[in-house]
Amino acid sequence: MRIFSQKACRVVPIVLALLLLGLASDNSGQQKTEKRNRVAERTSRKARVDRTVRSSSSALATDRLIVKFKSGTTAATAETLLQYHSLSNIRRISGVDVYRVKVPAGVTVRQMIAALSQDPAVSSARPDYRTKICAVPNDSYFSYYQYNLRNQGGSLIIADDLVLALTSGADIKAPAAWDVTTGSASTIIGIVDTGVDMSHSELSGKVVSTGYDFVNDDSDATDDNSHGTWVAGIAAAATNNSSGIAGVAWNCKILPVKVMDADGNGYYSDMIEGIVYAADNGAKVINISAGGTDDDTTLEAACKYAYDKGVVVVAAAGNFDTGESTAVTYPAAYDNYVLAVAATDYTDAWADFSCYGSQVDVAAPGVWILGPAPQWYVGSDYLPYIFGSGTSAASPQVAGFAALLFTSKSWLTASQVMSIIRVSADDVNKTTYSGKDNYLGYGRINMGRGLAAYKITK
Amino acid sequence: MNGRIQRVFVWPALAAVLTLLLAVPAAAEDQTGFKAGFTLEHFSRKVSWNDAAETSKSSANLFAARAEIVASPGLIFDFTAGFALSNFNGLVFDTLPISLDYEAGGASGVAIGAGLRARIARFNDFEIEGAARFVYCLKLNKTWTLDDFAVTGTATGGPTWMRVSAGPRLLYHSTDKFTPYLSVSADWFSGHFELAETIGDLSGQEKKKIKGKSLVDIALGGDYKLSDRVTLRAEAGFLPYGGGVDADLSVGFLYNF
Repeated sequence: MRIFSQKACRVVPIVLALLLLGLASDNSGQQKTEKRNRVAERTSRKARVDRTVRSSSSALATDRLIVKFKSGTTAATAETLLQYHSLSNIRRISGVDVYRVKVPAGVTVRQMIAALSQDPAVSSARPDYRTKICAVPNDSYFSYYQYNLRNQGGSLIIADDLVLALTSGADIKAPAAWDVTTGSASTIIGIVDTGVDMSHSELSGKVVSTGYDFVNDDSDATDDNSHGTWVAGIAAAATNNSSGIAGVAWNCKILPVKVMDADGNGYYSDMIEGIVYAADNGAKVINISAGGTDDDTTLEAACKYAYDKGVVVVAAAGNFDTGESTAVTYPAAYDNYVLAVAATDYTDAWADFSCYGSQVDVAAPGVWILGPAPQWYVGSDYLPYIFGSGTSAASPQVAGFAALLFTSKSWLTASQVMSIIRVSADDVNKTTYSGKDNYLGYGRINMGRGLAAYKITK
Repeated sequence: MNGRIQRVFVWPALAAVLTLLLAVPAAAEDQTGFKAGFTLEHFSRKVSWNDAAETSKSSANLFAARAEIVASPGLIFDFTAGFALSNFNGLVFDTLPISLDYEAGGASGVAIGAGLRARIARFNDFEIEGAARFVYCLKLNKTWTLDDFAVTGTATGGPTWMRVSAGPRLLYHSTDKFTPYLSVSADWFSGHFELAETIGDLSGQEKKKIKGKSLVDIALGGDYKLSDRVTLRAEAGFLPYGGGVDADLSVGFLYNF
């Protein structure tokens, strides 16, 4: 019943080829998923990835102070004094006995410090410096390589012959979202793909079980391709552990579901089973960085099954090469039940391989995205990470976003989560296509806007 | 410590007050009649929400017409009706699909109130009366535009609250023109702020219950007769609570018909 098989090619030492997933029919007419060698990956060279994390300079908050009173000052007196100075949002930090306060509009932090310093009851008034400890992970490669999560501009040197000129802000605003939540172990992302390397340091503590392998029909969804490992790591790699990369959903768990073989080929039937399995086994989000060109009612029914169970199904819109179909692939094209994800690049421009059509909901960076890879895949001379491009990389970022939304607000329905992801997107191509368009949908996702509270002002 | 304070301050003070009450001759007082005017009130309250897990500072400004009916000597009914601007900045509506942090300042409402003051005792120029009052502010829905999203959204709603106070008031009819008073009253402040959010096909509604932290209002005030017809009234109070203090301030005038 298996019809089409195409081997991923590797180009050593630097450029490793990888593939897009598409659907093809063999001579017997059966449908299957396949990888196309459209998307290239590169290994992170040791010399590059050993680079230390660039430290970000501290900046003081423009509207907050930390005030300490002299011993003997009662709490009532202290708060009265703070209110006298028109300070608001007064919060006492017990243990260290200081007050965190908000400076009124129109007064600078420096001016307020000067005013408070005149008060005989005040021991010290200091700026409240910004910290990124919680919001920004300490993973080795986060600051420099993972522009998709936080793009600070400058150049990203992937190889001597591959230097990306980054546009600051062309990212998914991950740190702003991480200020709200970094996910929880109770939120599970089903990775319906080629399996997951469960021994990888980025993923070994993240999988809820060994999952299921619908290719070999056993309960060991170990990755024999690398694609699923890469995708799983982008969504939810072990994060803030001082090494490797950061995942979008730090603390969420992964359910590995293998529906494609070592060559990246698979059947709709396996994908259908995989979707149902993930929905039945606790996944709140299912990521499918794969697809086919043919519509199939059963595949749609599987997506509906998951959706009706409150699961958000996220799928890559698909990639095209010259002469290939540009239409959004299935299951991404099932508009009612699946979020279709297109790819942008490191400048927030549409990636020129990203399939397009009215079914595209949102986009995420999908060009040269760093993710984990099995050690056997990259070889012993390389660190187990690869750069890759494709909507396959964009989709798990949206899946991670959905997982964070479920963590933050467990009562949300799948429909609501999908809507939040859509309406909170940045319309990054509005100068060309204002509003929702066929290339980026509503725009590149903005996790901060979707998760943080919107300030109602005037 | 409390016992010591009572011994040192409270009992001697009460003894002094009683002595004065019995010693000073009575002053003139209103018989029956009707007064009307305006009042301007401002008060701040530390409020808690999310089952007291969160707190923020709120305030309200009231501009109201006021009527007082002196039903009999020592029995006064008053009624107020007007406009309120309530500021609940800092409230976070976090059960909406997209959380909203209210920082828009004063939200308007219609305020109505009623009160009763009844004499309990009078000793020469001193008088003790019981006073009770409530003010109810009904929201006037306002709509804010949520314009940073891929589709324009709106948030609609406003605060509704009620303040009830009751307690004794000690008045000193010092002259025919000026009557200062000191009041100590129990004070309850509670209400809710309701917001409905619509962004594209996303919608939600959240009612945030709010409750004042302070429970006792200690106020000093006075009536000053500018003429036989016109009386000015002012009052300032503070409401201590664990870790801070709230404040009240009101000014107004009444015309004696």
